[in-house]
Amino acid sequence: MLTFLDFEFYIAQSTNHWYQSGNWPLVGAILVLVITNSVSLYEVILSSRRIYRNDIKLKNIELLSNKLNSFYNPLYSLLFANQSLFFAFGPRTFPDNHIRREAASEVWREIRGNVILPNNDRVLEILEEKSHLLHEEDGIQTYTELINHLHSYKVFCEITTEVHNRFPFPEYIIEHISRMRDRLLKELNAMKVFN
Amino acid sequence: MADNYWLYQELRRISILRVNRIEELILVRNWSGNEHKIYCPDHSEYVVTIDLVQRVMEMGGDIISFPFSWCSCSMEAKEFSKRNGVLTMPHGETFDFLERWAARR
Repeated sequence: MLTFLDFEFYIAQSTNHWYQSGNWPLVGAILVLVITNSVSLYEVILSSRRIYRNDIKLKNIELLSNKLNSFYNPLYSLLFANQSLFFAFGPRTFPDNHIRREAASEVWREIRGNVILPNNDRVLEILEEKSHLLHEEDGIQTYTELINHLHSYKVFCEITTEVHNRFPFPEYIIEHISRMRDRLLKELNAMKVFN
Repeated sequence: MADNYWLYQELRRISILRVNRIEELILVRNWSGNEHKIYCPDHSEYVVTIDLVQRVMEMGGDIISFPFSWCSCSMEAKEFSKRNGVLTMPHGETFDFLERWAARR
């Protein structure tokens, strides 16, 4: 005679699917664990990759800004200021009138001593200490003529010598710095847009 | 181009000299008849160079007098002019030199 328990067992056995018997429940549990964990692991990897990429982008933006702020911008403004002052007050602009010429030469000497030579010193300082901020496509060789000219001019102001004629101001340098500056600005703006 | 108007006017004030202008040079004579020919650079020649000294020599000049305030003489030009008998000096020295020279009769 069938007891109530036997009946229960019979019902249970007859409705069991394949995955509810044997090791399958264990396998299923393990699979669920593996899948959920790998999804969350994948998410973690993705987000860390995104963070790393963003970090690199930020660092690149920082580096480009640094190149502009500590190298190209000050070089451009200092050299441009000096060139403008030379064209506005330099010896070639001295007037014909004797008295006016004396005054003009006095003004020029003051400007040379108080603005042009200190600016030149700053340019040399930047070139000597911050050349690691040069753009990848720029080279310190491009600045050799400028460096020689600045050193030679400093000596020329103390000792008048014709040796200085061998080291003229490289006319192309301001244009070159301006071009590199524009390029860096474009690169920087592009990075900011896509970030 | 010489710019000698101011120097010419100033030299004329020294009574023991006879002063004339010959093209780009100022001719000064003392009473013994000795003479010097002075060149004074213009504002484009703000550094007296060897080239300028040579040009002055070709013109027959033997003194280059320049205003100390806006002009200077290169070391090379100083040496070159000394070797070639050309005196290169600022205006102040030129006046001293000419006064002493003119007083020697």
